Amino acid sequence: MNCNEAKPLLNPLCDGELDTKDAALILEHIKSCLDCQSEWTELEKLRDRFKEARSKSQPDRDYSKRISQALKREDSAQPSSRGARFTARIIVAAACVMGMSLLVSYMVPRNSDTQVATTSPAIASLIEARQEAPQSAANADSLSSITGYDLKLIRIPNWQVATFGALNLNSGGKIARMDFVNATSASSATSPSPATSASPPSSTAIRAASSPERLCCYQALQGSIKMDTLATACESRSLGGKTVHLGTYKDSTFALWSQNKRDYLLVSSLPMPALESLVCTICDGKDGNTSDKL
Amino acid sequence: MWFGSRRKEFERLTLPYASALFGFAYWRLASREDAEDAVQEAYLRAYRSFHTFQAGSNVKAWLIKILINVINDSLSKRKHHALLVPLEDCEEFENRDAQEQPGPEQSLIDKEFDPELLVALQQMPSTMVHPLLLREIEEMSYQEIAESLGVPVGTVMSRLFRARQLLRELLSKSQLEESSETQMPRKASSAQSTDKDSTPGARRIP
Repeated sequence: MNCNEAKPLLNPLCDGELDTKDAALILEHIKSCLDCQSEWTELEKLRDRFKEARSKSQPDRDYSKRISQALKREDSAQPSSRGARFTARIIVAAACVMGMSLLVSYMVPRNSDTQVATTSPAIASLIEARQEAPQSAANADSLSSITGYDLKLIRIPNWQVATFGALNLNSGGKIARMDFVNATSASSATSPSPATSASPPSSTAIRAASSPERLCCYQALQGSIKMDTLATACESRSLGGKTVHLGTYKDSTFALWSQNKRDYLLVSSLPMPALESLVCTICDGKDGNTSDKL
Repeated sequence: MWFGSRRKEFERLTLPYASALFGFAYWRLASREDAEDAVQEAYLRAYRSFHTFQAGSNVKAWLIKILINVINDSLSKRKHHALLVPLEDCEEFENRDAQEQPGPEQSLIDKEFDPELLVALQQMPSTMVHPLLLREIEEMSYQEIAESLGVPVGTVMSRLFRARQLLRELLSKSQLEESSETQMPRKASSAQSTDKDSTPGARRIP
């Protein structure tokens, strides 16, 4: 090996990058070459100088801890970048699910039973809205189109449907309502029929003689009407095979139950026993003369 | 909880190299404070892009790449800073001449271990000083240096060869000037870059 071959390899030799065979050849050359020997000595000096420098350039003992604290601060200060990328993915996924749900709800026919009412009115607000006139509908079909669900007609013996329509809710939706009037009291209040005058008048009929008895019946998809704060003031009873929640609120009595995939809420000024009898005739489907017994 | 475990994993992989990274930054920036800041910034940058790190790849090489970018940014700021205050520098230089006292910057370097080596390294271009420091301070193999700098191994070899030659020249020059200063009254001289790519914040040769 000559100097031209050896000199370029002195650096790799110094850095330990040569294999044993090449290293031995160069070291053999250095022994006999003063020029390369001088070069090698200089490289060794520099290497020793850096070795010393390396040992003297250490950070403080707690440097790693400080970096660790900085990383912790990074996490707490910027939950956005990395973490929020993860959060954003969850939000986007949730938004997609919600979007799909909305799409599906629009694709479902408006009059289908499967449509979920967008309203969840509380009993108290419905009772208080008793005096409000609902948005009248020409017929049951048009009412169904307003509310978004099919309307079930209720037949209550001796009670006639006076109006039916939809009531606007604060939450933005609509709920179907039928207003009944006691046929007996209504007829006696206007022009007493011979049949009515022939039989002894009931107490209800006597009260209704001056003003016809009225009954509000709200109807919504099952699970829509919330018991809300009145839940504790309610008594649950089994009437006609259905669990009926009965209670009073202000000067009204009310009854809430579910039947035929609907929630029904009856609001009246009837005494509780009278309301119970009325609900019983509706629930068991009997065409009794409950009203007449009042 | 999720952030915590992620951070722990990052720390487990990277913190063992903190000391080595500091050494590289120190000999490149010639300031303990700047080196600490640079390494910490490199760790934060690395943590922010931890999701891009491929498991199984060389952690140290990945960190070095990021640290070199941080150091380049830091040196660039120094350059701008120097451009903004050239007059003050001149005044300081003149005053030091008159009082025969080193300036505050020079005083700091003089307190460091082997200031001649520190100053000489500052005068070298980054293309040479980076492979040299990775080899001598980080004790990385040629292959690792090539990976960190994104150059072939052959380039690493040639750059190391030239870097050592240049460093020896600079140290010899420094030694000559020092010996002449002992015979003549002390006269400050400003550090002149030998290369366009040299450190913008170059220090004065003692």
